[in-house]
Amino acid sequence: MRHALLKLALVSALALLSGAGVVSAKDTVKIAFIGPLTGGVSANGIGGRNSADLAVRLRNQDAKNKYHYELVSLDDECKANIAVQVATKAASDNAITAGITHYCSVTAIATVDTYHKFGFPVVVWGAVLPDITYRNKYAEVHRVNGTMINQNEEAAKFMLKQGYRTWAIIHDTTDYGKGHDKYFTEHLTKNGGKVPRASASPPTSRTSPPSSPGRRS
Amino acid sequence: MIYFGGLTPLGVRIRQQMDRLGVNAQFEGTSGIKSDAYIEGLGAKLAEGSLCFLEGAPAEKLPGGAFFMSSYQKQKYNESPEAYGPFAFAATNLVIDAIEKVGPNRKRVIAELNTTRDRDSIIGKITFDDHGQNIVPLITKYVAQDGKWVVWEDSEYATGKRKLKGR
Repeated sequence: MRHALLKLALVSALALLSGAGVVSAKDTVKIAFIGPLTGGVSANGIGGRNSADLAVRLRNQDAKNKYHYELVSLDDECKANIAVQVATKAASDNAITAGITHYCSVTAIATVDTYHKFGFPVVVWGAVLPDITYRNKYAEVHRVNGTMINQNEEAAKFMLKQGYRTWAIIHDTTDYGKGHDKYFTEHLTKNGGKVPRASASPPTSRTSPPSSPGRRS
Repeated sequence: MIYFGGLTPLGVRIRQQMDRLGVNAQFEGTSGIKSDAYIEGLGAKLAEGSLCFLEGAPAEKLPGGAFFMSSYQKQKYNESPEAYGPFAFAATNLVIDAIEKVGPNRKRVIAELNTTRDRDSIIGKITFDDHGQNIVPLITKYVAQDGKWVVWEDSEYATGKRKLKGR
């Protein structure tokens, strides 16, 4: 009797195991999402995270897929130092294959060396500083969105076409703001616009609402 | 003209300051203020007429864009995808396509991503140059109209019904 019970238990356990085997027939592949999930620009970070999550959910519904995907979301807070920490965390975890990384240019540029060092493939989804892809030639780093060079050329030409001639430029003093200033001014003056003077706003502003208002030029 | 190179939180503050100090200039931002949070932060009235520029075609105008928006709504996320959500969606699909093709191996995924040419996506074609940069020729212009970012060509500013400051 006891023997029969044991046998029954064994059979059930085997049935359970094989059942579990059917459910997890696909290996799980982890992908990291990194963006500003807290702080002043978190709306963009969360919108990006949800969109990456949507892509993963839709793909997981597809029976033809070879793998099951899991998104690991990490918060870079739109801060360079935090970004390097979370980038290292993702890149040093061998269970994570690739990353969908960064909205803020300050975080995207701060982390390219980390991804390169770890041989970790990333696709930048929102940061526009040209240097992110163009300062180095890292095979690991890709970007689906365009750069601020394209954006400012179009912006300058369009505004001149509207009949405007003189600009005051305000930027946030980060590499991001400086880059916009540089490329917009370049395209503007080349096409006949004037920028008497550029002025900078407090650098704290890119991570949280500024405690003091930006200076006007 | 006031041109602002920075992100939404500071953009909102600067536009408010212009109003308080009576600076009657046209305000132009970058992709950094292309967010619903910019308009929500200012209110529809103060945001009205602000301009910004964003790379890529507007998602809702591309074949896959409508699918993206309706799928996004079905998931009932509490937040909007914002300006770069479609880029995150496209990037994730690109990575998944690569893994499906070559397996979850970093080196092979890197090599596969680097071959990306003329790939259809909800942000338009994706082609990486030798720096891994997508070459996107298209820039879309937006103007804030009645509390929304409207594609310039579809706006009442383009038809002349409404006018930018100083025009």
